[in-house]
Amino acid sequence: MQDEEYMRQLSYGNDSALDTLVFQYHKPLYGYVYRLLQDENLAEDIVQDTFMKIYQQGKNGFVPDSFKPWMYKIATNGCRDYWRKASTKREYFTDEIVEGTGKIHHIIDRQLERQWMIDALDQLAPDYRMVLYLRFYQELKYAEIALALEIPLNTVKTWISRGLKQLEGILLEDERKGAGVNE
Amino acid sequence: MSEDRELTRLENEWKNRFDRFTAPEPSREQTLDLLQKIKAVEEVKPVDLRFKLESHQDTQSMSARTVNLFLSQWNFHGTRSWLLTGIIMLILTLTISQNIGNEVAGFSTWIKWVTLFMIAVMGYAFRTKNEGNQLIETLSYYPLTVQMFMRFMIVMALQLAITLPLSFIILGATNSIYYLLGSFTPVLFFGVIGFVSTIWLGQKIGLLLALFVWFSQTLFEKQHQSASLFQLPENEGFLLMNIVVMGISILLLGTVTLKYRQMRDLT
Repeated sequence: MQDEEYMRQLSYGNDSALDTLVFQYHKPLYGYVYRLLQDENLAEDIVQDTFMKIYQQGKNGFVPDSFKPWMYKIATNGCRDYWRKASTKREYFTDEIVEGTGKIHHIIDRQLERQWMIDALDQLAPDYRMVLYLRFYQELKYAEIALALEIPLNTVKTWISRGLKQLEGILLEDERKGAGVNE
Repeated sequence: MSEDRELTRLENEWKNRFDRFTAPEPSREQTLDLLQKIKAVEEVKPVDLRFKLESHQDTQSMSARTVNLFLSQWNFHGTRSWLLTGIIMLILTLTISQNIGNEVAGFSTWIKWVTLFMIAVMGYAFRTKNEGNQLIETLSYYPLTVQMFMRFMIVMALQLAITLPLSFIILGATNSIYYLLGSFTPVLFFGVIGFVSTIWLGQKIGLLLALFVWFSQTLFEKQHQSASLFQLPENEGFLLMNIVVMGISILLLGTVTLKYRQMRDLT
């Protein structure tokens, strides 16, 4: 059954349709939000809020045209709201954050390669990180990313391309400094 | 095309590297727990549509609310109904202006018909078939009194906007500011009578009362000319009567706020 059909079932009052959606998307959605916020508790809250909204909208009779981008849009907006509320207009390029990442990620992964990836991604603007996460971890199609982030299709391509090139630049810089850990 | 190729190349190159950034994964128990939480919150706080609607209403600006109120009442009767009013007024005016040679006598006849028509429009605007309005009221949007007031405003504005230019057809060169006043005041008065009596006494009695005032004015005009509402600028008491009628209209309108408070306190 398609995800949209589960939403339709939800609108008919069939609550068990939610179970299927949650089981199917809890992990990927949590992964996406976690990668954006890098905080387990925050990610849990936003994922819960996202599913709450999905549940309520379904109960109100709303069936999205395309479930997956719609779900990621709700979650992305949740993250954006958090950034706005916390006034953490993050300066991803500041030394402070980069220095602090070791502490932040101690529970995630100690492997240096992975740490390098986190650091490198952290240096990207949030928009670039969102498209990269949606493309590489959530495996969304370009059109789905465009729907989720409410941006034109060409912008998705541009952001992915620029994001990857910036990552490449960071890698080369690390190599130059001798700090690269991935080779 | 080359940009797409470049993008594909970059993606292929980077695909494996992204695996190096893993995120913790929630366990099955955590997923079950999440489901329970969602459903528990929903059970405690069911979706309250009225509350949501009221919250949405609160966020609207005063001007947006007024526009919505206007549109809801305009749409209730439909643009066609309002346009029909204008067409009937025009036919009435042309018929009178073609059949009565004397402008002043023509004006006197015209204003009587216009005010009678005003009562008819009021009767139509406040007709009891108002399920839509009751629904709007139930949904907490606009109290019935407020909705009726908006309809009164629409009727008045429309009638006056039509009446004033049409008075030029009837009076031609003899038109003056006094004649404009002479057409404005009775239209306003009968509009107010129709509106206020409907608010206080209901649609049927309100309409009958407005008709009673109109017929008694028309029938006894000759016997009690000084008390006539349809005075012409030539009459001695023209200005005084207009001031008195305006004053009464304003006082009557003021009583609507009293009724509004009464109804609000009851709910």
